[in-house]
Amino acid sequence: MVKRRFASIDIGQVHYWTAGEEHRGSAKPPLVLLHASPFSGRSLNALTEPMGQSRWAIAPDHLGQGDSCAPTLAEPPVEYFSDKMIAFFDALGIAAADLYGTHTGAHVAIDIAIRHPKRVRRLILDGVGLPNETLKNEYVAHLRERPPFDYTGAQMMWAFQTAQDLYLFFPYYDRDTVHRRKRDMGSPSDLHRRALELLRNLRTYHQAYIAAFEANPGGRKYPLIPQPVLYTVAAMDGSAAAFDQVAKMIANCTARRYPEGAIAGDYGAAAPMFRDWLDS
Amino acid sequence: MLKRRFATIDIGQVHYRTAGEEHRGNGRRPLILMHASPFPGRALSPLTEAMGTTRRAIAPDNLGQGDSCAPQHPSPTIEYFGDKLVAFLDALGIAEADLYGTHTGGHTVMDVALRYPKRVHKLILDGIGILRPELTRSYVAHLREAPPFDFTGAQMMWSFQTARDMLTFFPYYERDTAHRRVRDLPPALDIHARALELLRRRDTFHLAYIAAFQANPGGRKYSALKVPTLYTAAAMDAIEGGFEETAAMIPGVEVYRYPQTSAVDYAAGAIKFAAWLDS
Repeated sequence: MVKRRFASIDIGQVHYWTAGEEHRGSAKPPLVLLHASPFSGRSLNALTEPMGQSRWAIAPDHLGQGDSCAPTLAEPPVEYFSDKMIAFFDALGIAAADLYGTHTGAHVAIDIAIRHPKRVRRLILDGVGLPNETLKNEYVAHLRERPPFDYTGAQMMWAFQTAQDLYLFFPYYDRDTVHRRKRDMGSPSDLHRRALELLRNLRTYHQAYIAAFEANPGGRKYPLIPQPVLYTVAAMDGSAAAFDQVAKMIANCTARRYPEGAIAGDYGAAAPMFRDWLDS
Repeated sequence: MLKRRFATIDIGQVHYRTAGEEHRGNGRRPLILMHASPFPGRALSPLTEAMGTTRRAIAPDNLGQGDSCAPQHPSPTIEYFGDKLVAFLDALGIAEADLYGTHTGGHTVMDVALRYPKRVHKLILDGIGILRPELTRSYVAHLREAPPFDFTGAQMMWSFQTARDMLTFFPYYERDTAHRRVRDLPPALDIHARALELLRRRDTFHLAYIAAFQANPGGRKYSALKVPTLYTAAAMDAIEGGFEETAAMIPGVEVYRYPQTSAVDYAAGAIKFAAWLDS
């Protein structure tokens, strides 16, 4: 059973999802799970819950996403998000943790691991690759476009269509054959939930997203990670193409793809792999 | 500064906003503020904050609304919500509280005052009246209609339009001149927030709403109130059955009207409420 809680840091409240609180203070370090944009810690519940069977598992919402307070800067860099995550560790009394991060969450996790090495024991990186400079600039420019917002309610359809386009195309704004993703459309419930995540943080969801895109140009941070890393990616993930290349760039790397047939978010298959590696 | 928190009761987590936690144990009882349907405790943030300057003020979300867990019952009555509010008081270690409730929240706190009088010091009822049976029937029938929900995203426009209609007409589904409400359309951000609340709890928001509509047929419960009660309504609230008529049914009632402004003047209300609670 995943529970919801708030912790207070200097700029406001951080919302998090948690399981396995009964393991607090056990020999295993807590596992902090950082989600992808533009969602919330809820998107990791299917992982947080099984990981909570053997350790304290904590999935905070990024600042400006989910139910966490917004960043107090207009264009915060990734260092801002990771420093606030350390403030969150402090608020929860966590000296050192294992970190799992996917997409945006992975970039925040990498930054924490490099700049606050004593706070991280091991690192699981999921779905990060080597985006090229052109794509990055284009994507960031699209994220900077303000969604419609007025008395006509245009934002409602904007959110629903954007939620669909995130499934159908990569990047989501190139709606042509070349950019079709090889994955099924989400269910009406998935679309609904994603649209809601966009809508409720209409003015802030892009901030962590942009910071992540700009966090690791050319992958130059990968060789700097001091901790042992489990690097993984699901077959349909856009970053799968650079898997072997990235694996070579990480100093202390165990590279394992998701089990055959598992898609991103299929944590039933991935959780045992993560658990075994953390406990090895 | 309001804080958000969760408390755990038997059926799940109750989300609440709170101010004045530093007044815990200051001799004044905590004040519980229960909101109107279908919008959560955030709607009461200005009042919660103002009351929190002198006491611990706590505004939970109704079950099935805002961020609180859903009722574990397909058609819960007001007593269900009353019992769970008492479970919430237990979870917070509150033996006795002052209770404020507006609309749906008014019916819930009245139920607690009637069935758990020892848990209630004083009661503030806001914006409730005497409902006609035919209005209750038609309103409940509309609330029971399942919103659209499919691949077309029809629910997105349903929620936005319903939020607008709730601000424009009473009842919201009678979209004619006779049912136009006398109030300004709030800022677009406010409509957005309301649409989101409908969307995210589209499966359960109606449960507390329906329970409240059916809570007090003909206003027959008012005369049974034994807890000291302040009765109030905003200028924009067209009280079903009449404000004076409702007040006349409550034993020993203290009556207060907010200033006649187009938005509810919670700053003025808070001064009155605090003085009355402390009297």
